Amino acid sequence: MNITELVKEARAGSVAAQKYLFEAFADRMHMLCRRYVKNKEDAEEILQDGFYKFFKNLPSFQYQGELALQAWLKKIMINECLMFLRKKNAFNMVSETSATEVSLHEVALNNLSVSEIFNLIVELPIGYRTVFNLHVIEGMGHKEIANLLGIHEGSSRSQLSKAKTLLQKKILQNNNDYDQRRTK
Amino acid sequence: MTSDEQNNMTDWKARLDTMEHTDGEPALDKAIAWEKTYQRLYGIRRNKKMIWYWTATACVGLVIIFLTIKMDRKPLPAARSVTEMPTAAKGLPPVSSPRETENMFIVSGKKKPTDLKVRGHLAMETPKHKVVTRPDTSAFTYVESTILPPSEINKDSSAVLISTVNVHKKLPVVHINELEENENADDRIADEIRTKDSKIRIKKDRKLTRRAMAISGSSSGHLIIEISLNN
Repeated sequence: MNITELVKEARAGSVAAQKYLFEAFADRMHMLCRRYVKNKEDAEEILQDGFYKFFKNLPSFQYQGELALQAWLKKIMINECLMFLRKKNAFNMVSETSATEVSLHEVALNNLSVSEIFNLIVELPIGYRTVFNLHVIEGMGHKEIANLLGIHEGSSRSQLSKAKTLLQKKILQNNNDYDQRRTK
Repeated sequence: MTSDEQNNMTDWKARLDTMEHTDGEPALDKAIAWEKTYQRLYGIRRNKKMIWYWTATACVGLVIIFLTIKMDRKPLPAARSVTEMPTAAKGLPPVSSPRETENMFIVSGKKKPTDLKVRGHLAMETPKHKVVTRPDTSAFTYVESTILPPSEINKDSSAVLISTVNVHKKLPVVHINELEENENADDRIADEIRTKDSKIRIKKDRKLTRRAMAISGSSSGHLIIEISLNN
């Protein structure tokens, strides 16, 4: 049974179809939540909240394909994560106007495994991590991020710059370790 | 940005996006996660606040039960309440009452030699006492009723004698000295009988004498057995 049929049945109220959909996307969505919220239990809680909203709003969703469905589900999950972080007052950022443009060492990133990249992102401070996730991975603009997080646009830029600098250092460090392992 | 750089970037991003678990960490337990989501979706999940509310209520209930049991075990004070007597009985000296005063009725308060005889049981309506209960006594209230002397009972209450006098007849107890007197009297009667009936020859038979002496009854109604040792 493909996703389109599952969505159709889930909309009609089939619990089995809802379960299949949950199992199809749960792992990916869980990792997405973990990228925003470091704690595993919190991420699980957010995942459940996200799926609850997903199934509740599924009848009103206009299905236009699997990718659209995934994008919608991702958006729900990200919103849930941001709500959680906002409740925790995680975005107490100092407004900074000056931010230097830092580019990531993409080749070095590709040398790392996905788990290593994940761990590097998760180890970033919460403000850096959120802005990095939203801008670099989700592709949002600074204005949108500023609106979502309730911060200034400049703050978003500076947070991203600092996040990239810190990440770069870690990537290089990891790469050095990687090179050393290779030479041995 | 060159196309290679773009490809590199999309590559690691795509890998991160489709990532389903990290190395060295247990994967998400989807069954449990689904169960929780399902419970929430279909309203089976209980409100956390309600759980806390019921837990707190149960705790308070347990504490109350515990305290009640503990208070029951404590020795009770001698008197928890004071009974106000009617005005006629206020001048009387205080009567020491026993602990168990419930349903108890005593005719005389003082231990004095008296002509009063307990002739039976009296069912009476005692005057209504005004019971003043202390506010701190919650579980038990002991009403200590004061016992009225007979004179007060006659005055204030409507005592009704319901049982009749029930006196058992008993044979009088006779002392041995009294028996000796009766014995002499019997001898005299016997002599009279002998003199009056002198014509009658009394056989001096041993058996007859013994029987005559044994059968002779006393005037007081006592049975006297006299054994003669005539040979």
